[in-house]
Amino acid sequence: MTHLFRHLAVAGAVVMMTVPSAFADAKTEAYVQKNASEVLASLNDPSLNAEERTEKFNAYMDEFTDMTAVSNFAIGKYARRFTDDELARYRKVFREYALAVYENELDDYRGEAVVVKDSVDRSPTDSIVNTVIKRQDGKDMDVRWRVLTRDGKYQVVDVALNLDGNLIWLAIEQRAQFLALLDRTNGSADALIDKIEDMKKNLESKKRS
Amino acid sequence: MVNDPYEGFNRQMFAFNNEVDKYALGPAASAYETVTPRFARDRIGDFLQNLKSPVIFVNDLLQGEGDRAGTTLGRFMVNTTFGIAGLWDVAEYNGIEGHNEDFGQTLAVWGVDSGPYLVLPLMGPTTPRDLFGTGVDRAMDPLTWTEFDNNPDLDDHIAIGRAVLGGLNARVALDDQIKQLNAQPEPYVALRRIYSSQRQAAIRNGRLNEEEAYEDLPDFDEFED
Repeated sequence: MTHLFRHLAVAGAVVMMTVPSAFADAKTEAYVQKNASEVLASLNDPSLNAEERTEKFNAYMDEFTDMTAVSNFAIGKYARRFTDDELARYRKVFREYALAVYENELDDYRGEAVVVKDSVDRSPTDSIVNTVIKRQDGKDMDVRWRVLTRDGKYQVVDVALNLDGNLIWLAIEQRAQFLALLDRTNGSADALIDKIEDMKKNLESKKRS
Repeated sequence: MVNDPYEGFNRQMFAFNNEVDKYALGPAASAYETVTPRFARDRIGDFLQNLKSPVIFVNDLLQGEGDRAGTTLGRFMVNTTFGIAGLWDVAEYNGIEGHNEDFGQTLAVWGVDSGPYLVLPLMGPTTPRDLFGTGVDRAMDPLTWTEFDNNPDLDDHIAIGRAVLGGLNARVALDDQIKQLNAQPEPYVALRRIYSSQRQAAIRNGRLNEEEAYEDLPDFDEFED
């Protein structure tokens, strides 16, 4: 259960990467291996200070991430109920939070290679790629990537960590909590935005120097 | 989805437990951490874990897990002797990793349903099945029935000391996770989901059923137009 809640906190931040289309599984696997490894490599440049590292990491993630779709997933039905202004404010703070969470979380794996084990097709456009990543502390982590093919592009929409046989899908966990908070507050966008803002500040205060 | 028909009551108990943790258990554990070196806490942790071995062993057997029962027995013998009464987990050092079992898990293996999710004062998250299992585990524990001829209160003192030390040791070890839980958007929901999925994983002895692992995944575009 080590780091469990930190892993959970990653949730809403889901990597969505896009490359030219192909249906072969080997290509889905190669796609995950290449892009995930590059993201981890971006955290491991010793010549950068903390600010520069974050800048590089965010630029890299932004290049491959469709935060709009991810943020919609995290609030489910409320994506249609928020006003345009609420949705814009929510997406802005969610993006900042998600990037901070991801940097914090992936830091444990910085510089490590993503090794693909195999993959499973749920449907022709919905696959899970199973990988192993060695952490900085030497432990092997079983990490699974859900890849959808949409409009001829690959998109990683969720990431799962296998913690002692407990498969935690990060975006799903985050969404469960966001929806519970929204249900409890009569769908208050401000309550959720304030909460994400707090969590973001909390994360930023813990960042590696 | 976790069956939680008593959510109102459970949320009140969750809030109560949080207050107890904030004002009593947390500060006590913090003081305990200050006055005990890490080395001592590790020895106490290993010692208390070794004391659980008989209960784990019986549950291994009741679940038909002969190999795991053998591991538990082997660890207990090695740690109780070479580990000086269990103060050192020598077995793990030699690559024999331990595991936990309890009667709640045994009932689950036998096909008993968990019943609704419950949060109880001081005890935290459980279910009727796990609560009953805790009682049976206590009844199975040889230390529950040990009496000392010359000192009739000694067994009670040992039980209390074991509970207090175990609680403080566990609270120190969980400090980071409790902070992270409280930083979640909905700590109550986070704990409920984690308790439930971790129990399921423990019942499967950490083995993931790859065949069914992805069956319940939601459609990513479920709520999109």
